[in-house]
Amino acid sequence: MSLSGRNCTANSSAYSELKWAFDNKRKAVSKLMESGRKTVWMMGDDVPEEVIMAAGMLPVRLCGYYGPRPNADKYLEISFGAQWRGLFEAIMNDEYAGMMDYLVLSNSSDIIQKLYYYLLELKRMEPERRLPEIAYVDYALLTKDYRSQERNWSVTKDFIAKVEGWCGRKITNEELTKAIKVCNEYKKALRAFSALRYGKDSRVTGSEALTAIAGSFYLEKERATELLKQLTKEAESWPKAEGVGVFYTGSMQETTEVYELMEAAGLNVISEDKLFGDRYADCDADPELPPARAIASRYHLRFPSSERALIKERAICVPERIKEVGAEGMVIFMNHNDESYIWDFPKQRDALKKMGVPALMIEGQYYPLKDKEELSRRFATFARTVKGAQK
Amino acid sequence: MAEEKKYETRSVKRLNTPKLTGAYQKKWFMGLRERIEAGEPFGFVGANTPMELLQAMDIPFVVNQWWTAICAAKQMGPRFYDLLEQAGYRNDICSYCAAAYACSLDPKPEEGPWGGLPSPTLLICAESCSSGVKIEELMTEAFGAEAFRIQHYHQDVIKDNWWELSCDNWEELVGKKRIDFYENELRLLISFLEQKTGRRLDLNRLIETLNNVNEQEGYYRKTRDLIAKTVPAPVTVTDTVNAVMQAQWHRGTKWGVEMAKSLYEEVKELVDKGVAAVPNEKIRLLWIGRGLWFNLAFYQHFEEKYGAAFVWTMYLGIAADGYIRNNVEENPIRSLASRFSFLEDILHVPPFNSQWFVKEAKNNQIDGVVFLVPENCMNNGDFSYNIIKSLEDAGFPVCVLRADPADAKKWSQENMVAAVEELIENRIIPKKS
Repeated sequence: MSLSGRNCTANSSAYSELKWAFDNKRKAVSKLMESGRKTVWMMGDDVPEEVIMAAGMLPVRLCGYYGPRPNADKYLEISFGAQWRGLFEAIMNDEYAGMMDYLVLSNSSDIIQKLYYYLLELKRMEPERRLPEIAYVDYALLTKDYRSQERNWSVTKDFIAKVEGWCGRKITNEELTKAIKVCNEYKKALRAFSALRYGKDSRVTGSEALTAIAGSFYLEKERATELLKQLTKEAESWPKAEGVGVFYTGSMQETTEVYELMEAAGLNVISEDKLFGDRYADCDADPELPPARAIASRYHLRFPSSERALIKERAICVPERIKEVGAEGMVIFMNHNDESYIWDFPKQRDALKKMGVPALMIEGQYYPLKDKEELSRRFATFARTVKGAQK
Repeated sequence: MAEEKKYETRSVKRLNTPKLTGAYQKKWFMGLRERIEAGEPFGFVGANTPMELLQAMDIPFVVNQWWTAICAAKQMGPRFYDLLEQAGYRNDICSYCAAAYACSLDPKPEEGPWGGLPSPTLLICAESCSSGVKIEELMTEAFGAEAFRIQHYHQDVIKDNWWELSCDNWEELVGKKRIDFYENELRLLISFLEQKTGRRLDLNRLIETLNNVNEQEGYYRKTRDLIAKTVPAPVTVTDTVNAVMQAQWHRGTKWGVEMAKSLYEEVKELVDKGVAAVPNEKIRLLWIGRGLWFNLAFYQHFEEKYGAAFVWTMYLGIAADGYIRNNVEENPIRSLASRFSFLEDILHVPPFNSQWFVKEAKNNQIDGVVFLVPENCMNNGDFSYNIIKSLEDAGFPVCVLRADPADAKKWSQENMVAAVEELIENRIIPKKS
């Protein structure tokens, strides 16, 4: 039975506002734009939004377009998985036409770098499209050694200079410090909310969490923080979320469809290593450090993503995280050709086996989902496997 | 759908140089094995890494892509990819990059090509796609090697007609920031190599190596230009592809220069004598994408029926245009940095790739283009829409083949032949007549 649409969420004004933003991203962004700020859209996990906020501009998280994707089909090779196709479509179609002043992509995946080059070329080839000015944040994310740290400092400084060019003035340390504080507060609120997802007494379903977290992206940070705090208080007394608690990794889910399928099959995502989820709030910028370095470190030190991390690092961090959140299983869900996780899997599986945590790997998925029944069947079988393993 | 092989996969060799390079590579590999067994370090490097440094330091090495091509040519791809599946991975993805790792999983490694791949002690990798990095990590661990990863830095300077700048104005082409970055990476790599092998880099030797590279690639440039302007072509890609690539992996050696010179002289002799590879040449084709190492005969399949000759691949093309860096004496490491910071962009970044393909199609008097797109490569993304559009807009019809260039098991000869025949019959012949 699906766990979505529980009474507790329906009765929560905080959840309703977050859900409205999640369901109506375009309208939510339009509302934010009423302030007159220029928009800087972000593609990839590692665009330092603190800098954008410090400049008095509006950072907007780009979400993929979930509808027909003729532009992606026309311009992209099949090696671009469903999530990347959705992001590209959202830039190219009319969904956000006239709303993008700038677009910043980050080196969070090699596919994003390809999209950066494609978009630059499309700007040259098809100027009538009026694509926004495009920038790239080239953080070194694969390793966390000093070489990467030094580069990331330099990249942050360059990005600050770039944004200063856009806003036409110097960004002060005070402005950066203030933005860091606002973002840290927001992430703290997200973490407190997410804590209610963890363990066997999870109060929040995966789809509710995804709705609230991703919905908060489309509100002013201060307002989002307020709502999340309110929601956390309320959710403490929500009825327990049913389903076997699992950790999710693989292709990022920007809609609740897959999580809801899992819930209906007896699984509940209690954490994920994805930006639309727990990974967004995994790491604060250290307020004790000079602001530019603090921002660089925030992106340098975050939880390793599969796209930009070594197998050995993930073979430690993922099981640790699973233990930390009390997940009873792990689901790797991969879109077709977004399948680098395959190389991670055997080592993670071995580590999880020692912990008695079963794992399910689902490959070759598309948007729209091609065979929901088969997926539901596999989720349900896995839920039974996990329950069996517990016995 | 894989089909049982009922077609010829070996190409007919028309030149002597590929026979020389083919014979040499086996002999060289056996010698390399002896050196490794005697305790020398052994490097395993990507094609996109500066192997010139190892060459100058006399560190034995092989190139990942060369090894994949050898496995494919020996029809051993399917065996190795099945080993990946048995180890919990998959046998149908990343075939171009994972062959060597698959070899490390072989319980009988000595049954691999020429006695199998010895275990490398050093891996030099360039950060590529998410899967490529992981495969390199698995290889490093499986071989008990030590790895150096050259970080990547994006290109934010887009210049038209890059080939007009690459030899002499490479600072302008690549941009100071990016070259600075790569130069620093190479200096770190040199320290790593010196520390791990106990060998030192002699800059005089590096300059000599880089000058050899320039000389070698200069011969390729002359060869490419000769083929481009000669109709009918004196040779086709089956004559050049092995001769070029086998020597390219020894770039910077005297032998590499000799083989490039030998190829040029052979081709020149054919031109002077008026000998044509395909005497009834009516159609000239350009191949974009990785070589079909397990089936080089494919390129000759269309010669008799249509007088269609494949005269261009990226292998000779990129040798001709992509490597030469003049004035290396001033700062040899920086000149090398400029080469490797930009090399991948030639093939993968628009508009560098599309502009170059159009230029090469024009210069080589091409009638049509066959574009191999590997669907099992997650790093495949060269903005092929743009490449195809640029070529078509310039008057070159394009046919796309979706196939795995490393795994013979998945090749459908019938479908691929049909696709190229469709291009020839429906788009090229009507246009020419």
